[in-house]
Amino acid sequence: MHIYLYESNLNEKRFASALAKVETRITDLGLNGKIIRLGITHSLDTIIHNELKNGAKTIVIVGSFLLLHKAINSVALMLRQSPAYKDVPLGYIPLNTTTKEINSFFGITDIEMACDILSARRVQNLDLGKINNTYFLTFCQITTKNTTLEIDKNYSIEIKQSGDVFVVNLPAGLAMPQEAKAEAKDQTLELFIRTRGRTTPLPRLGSTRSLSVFPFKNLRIINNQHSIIVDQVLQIKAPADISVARIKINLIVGKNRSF
Amino acid sequence: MFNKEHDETGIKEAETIIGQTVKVKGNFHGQGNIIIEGLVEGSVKTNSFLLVGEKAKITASVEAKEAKIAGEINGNIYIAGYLEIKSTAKINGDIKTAHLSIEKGAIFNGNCSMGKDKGGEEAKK
Repeated sequence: MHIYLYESNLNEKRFASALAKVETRITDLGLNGKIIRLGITHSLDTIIHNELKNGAKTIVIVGSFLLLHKAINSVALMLRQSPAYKDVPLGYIPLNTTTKEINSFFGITDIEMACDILSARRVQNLDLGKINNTYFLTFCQITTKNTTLEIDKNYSIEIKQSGDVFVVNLPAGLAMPQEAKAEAKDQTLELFIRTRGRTTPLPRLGSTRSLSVFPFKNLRIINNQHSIIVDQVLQIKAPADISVARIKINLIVGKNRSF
Repeated sequence: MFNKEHDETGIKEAETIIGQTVKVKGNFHGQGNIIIEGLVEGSVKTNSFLLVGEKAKITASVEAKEAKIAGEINGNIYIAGYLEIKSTAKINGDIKTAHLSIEKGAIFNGNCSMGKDKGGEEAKK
């Protein structure tokens, strides 16, 4: 059975038309299931826990990428306790979202397509990154300013110019060098450093000189002033330890995904 | 230019890219292709291809299966297969490799020994 988890603010009038579209398409595709409208006081962990115990075959997130991020964490928490539900995939219908680049990375460009993707059920078994006790699917980001990186305890990295540091599981909406390989299936994360490079009067098209990529298993980020943005939707204070999670997650993705 | 250089070497995939704005301290060991354009203070070792760009500077030993060097290396170099030294390269250290080419203009101060059993043995260690 499909379980649809509606984000709490989707009961607002502005989402009525989009939700109607989703529900019509779901009915047309014969994917009807149980709808749970989340409230502010609901615990996502408890709801997902109960639905998985009751035999849910698919959990579908209807709402923002933040809700998907939270759902991934709830499922991962449950998988850590029991691997019995490891085959239950997560689906995603983006609504009220500011993460268009992430959505299109997963091959989802509009809500009707998202419903068709659920129907096609292309499931990808993906690695997750772990920052302290939080799981992430895409990447973490922090400014290079005042940031110290300790990587696999073998070497340290000194960044000579300002820019951003990314810890990448899936480079959703992130332009990495063509030669770099960042995929969420190799049990490795990539540290991607993007600095502004030399100041020149003309932009250097296609230049990768200010880009660096390092694969790693364990990384510590230290910064007393700036926070780390996780999955583009959450902030976590440094210092933080980052590694590949032992848990993998099943995600239903589109045919036109970028990985 | 960086991209052009990558095209010339045929590197389509690199495990590690050390850009010009980064300095790495410590021993850096990898399995895949490595591209270095920045500074490395410590040994570099890979079982695959190593590309050292024009602006790169490495202070310690280097080991790889094959390599193309256009930057500066102050340390010994062990290459199991083919080592290509470009005209912009500055090498202060000994070279052990199976196959070698050095372009006009390159600076090399050190001993060189060649043969199939030279660079290969070190790179396999």
